Amino acid sequence: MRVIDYMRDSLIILDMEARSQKEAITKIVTRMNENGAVSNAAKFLDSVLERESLGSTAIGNGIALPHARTPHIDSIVIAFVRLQEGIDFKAADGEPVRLLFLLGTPMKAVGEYLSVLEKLSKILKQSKIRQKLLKATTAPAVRSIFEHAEA
Amino acid sequence: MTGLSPLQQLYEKYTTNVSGRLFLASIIVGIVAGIGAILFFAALTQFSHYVLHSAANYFPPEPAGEVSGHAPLGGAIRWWVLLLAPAIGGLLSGILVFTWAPEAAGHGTDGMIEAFHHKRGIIRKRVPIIKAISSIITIGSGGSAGREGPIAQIGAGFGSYLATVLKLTDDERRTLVLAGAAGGIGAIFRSPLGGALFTVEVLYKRDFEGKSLIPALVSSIVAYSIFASTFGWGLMFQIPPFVFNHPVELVFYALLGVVCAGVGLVYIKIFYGLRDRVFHGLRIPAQLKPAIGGLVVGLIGIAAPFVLASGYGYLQQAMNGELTVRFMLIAFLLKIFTTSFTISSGGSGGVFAPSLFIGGMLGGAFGQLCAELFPGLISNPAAFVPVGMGAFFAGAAKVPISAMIMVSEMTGGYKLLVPLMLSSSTAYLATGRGTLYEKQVNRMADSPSHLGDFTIDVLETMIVDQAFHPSDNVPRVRQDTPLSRVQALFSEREENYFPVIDQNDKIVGIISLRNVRAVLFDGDADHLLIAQDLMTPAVTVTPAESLKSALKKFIEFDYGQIPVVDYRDERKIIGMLTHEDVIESYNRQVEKRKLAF
Repeated sequence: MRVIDYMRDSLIILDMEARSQKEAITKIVTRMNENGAVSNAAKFLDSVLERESLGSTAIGNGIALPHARTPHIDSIVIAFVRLQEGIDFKAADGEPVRLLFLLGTPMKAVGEYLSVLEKLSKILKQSKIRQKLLKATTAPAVRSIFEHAEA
Repeated sequence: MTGLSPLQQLYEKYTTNVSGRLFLASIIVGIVAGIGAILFFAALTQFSHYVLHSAANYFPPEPAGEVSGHAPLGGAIRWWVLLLAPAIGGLLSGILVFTWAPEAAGHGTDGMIEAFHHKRGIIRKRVPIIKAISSIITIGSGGSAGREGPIAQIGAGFGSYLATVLKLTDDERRTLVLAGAAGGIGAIFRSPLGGALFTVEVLYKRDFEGKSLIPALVSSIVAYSIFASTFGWGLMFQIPPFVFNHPVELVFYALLGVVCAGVGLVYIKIFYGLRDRVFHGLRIPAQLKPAIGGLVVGLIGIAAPFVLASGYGYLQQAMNGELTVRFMLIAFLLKIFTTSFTISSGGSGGVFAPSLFIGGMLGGAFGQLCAELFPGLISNPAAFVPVGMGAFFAGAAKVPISAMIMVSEMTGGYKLLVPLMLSSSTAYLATGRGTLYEKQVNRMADSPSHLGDFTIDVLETMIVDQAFHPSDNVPRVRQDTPLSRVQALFSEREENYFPVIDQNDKIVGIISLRNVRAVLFDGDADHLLIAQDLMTPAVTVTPAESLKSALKKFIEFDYGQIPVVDYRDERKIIGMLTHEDVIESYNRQVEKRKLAF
């Protein structure tokens, strides 16, 4: 499966407002819950925040990939959020984070989880793609960026 | 007797005790296995005649005992047919198998072994039928695979079915599964004793399923007699009158065993490596993968047609001493690849016939080379061909006894039993834990089918506390350890899993090598994945738990060791219990009981 197959237009959110890591993650999970993507939003949120407390999921260049493997989701879902302004995510390179990919995985899908994270982090290493993601104005535009990257 | 079919009524009437009813059932299984072997063999011969002879105009040599009667028509081989046939065969067989019976993919004998150990001997009715048709297509179109897998599935499938119809116990069903496979193999290779021994030997790396031997023999006798009545009583191969009467040759036969073991291990690596690292990762439907494997086979086949299909005719030539060292070396090397591409891509067929070919060619080349290097020491280099056949399969499949018997029965070369004994044993020992049949378990105690046997009584009376070694220093990883560090740990140490602990040193899960496949995140992404992301729930035992319960966990979860936790705080690790600890304590206890009498 391609990364884009785990994303849906309703969970591509451009220009969200958030001042802290926790606020950003909470807002994304609320949105996922409204879309029926998680089975227990409160517990799912706890898992993501707990995972973040064990080690930052920022990968540098203003990107973070918060994620959790938990029983509170039925299939792998990726939400993409662009923040209006960068926030501190304890990144190793110190850069504030503006592009967030929140990934939830059910307990069973270990292999799939590994390969999605691997693919996503590879795609995001290309600075051209990061630039495009910062400029995109609509969800379909984001979709086509990924479709091109994975073609 | 209401509710019973006439067959069941008859059966009940004539069977008064357990061994009696198994005996009768084994005869029925043998009859069906024999007829199944006839139909399978006839269909396979006919189909491969259409493809290889009629369509490709390719007439490979035939072994002395299986002459089809189709003489070459002359004219050139149609190379493009040879190139494409295995791919088209792969496509057809792939669609058939992966649509209707995915468990029939690959080599069928593993399917039988798995059904025996893990599925109470239950085989779905459609499996043997799908397996037979897909194997006929795979092998008949030139794919490099053999008949033992499919015929074992046909016989075993009927044994399983009969046991269910007659409402027999699980134990009896397992026995009939083996009897069916024994009949099929015994018939089609004209090796009744070898077929029966093979099925009781192939289940374990280091044990025999002794109690099923007689039913397997009964079925094999019946099936062989039916098959041979139709296709003749001759041997599969005819060999020159080889003898063994020169003890110095034993040195070379022992060496051959070592060489067979080395090549066998490489073969296993390539065979499963292709499946797991190449075909498994291909992003296309499983139905199409055998076609890709087939295409590679076809490409090799147009350069070297002798490594297509069974290749028995070439083995016959090798035994006659008609082949050169160079030819035999190329043949065994390429055969490893054609077989791996045929079966590892999901194509259908057994591994026995290709193993005979690889071992025979390897033995032939080895024999001739030794004869040239040490003139006068080797009486007949071609004798190394049948010995190589047996030794190679003995080592790669972990079946030392049945391999030598099968080769002796197929060739009539009983004078070579002593060299076969030496080479087979050497190869068997030297391959260690490696095996072509990945569903094999080590010993009876490792098979769920023997859970509840005598061992359990003793283990029930013992507790974990008597067996494990307490330690404050159990290797473990913290939940925030980056994946790269976990991978490094696995490569530094022998463990195939570690307990995962939180900051308070309490166990929160385990992380196993299986879940940590080679993913590489470089630079800043290194800490993106940590041990916690990949761990699975912990399986633990407490010191007060019985060893029976611990053994169950070992078998169920398939880990070599289990963390022992404090019974007051079930998340605190106080040591490790290994599988060997349990066996050792068991042995100690049994010794004690013996002394008490």
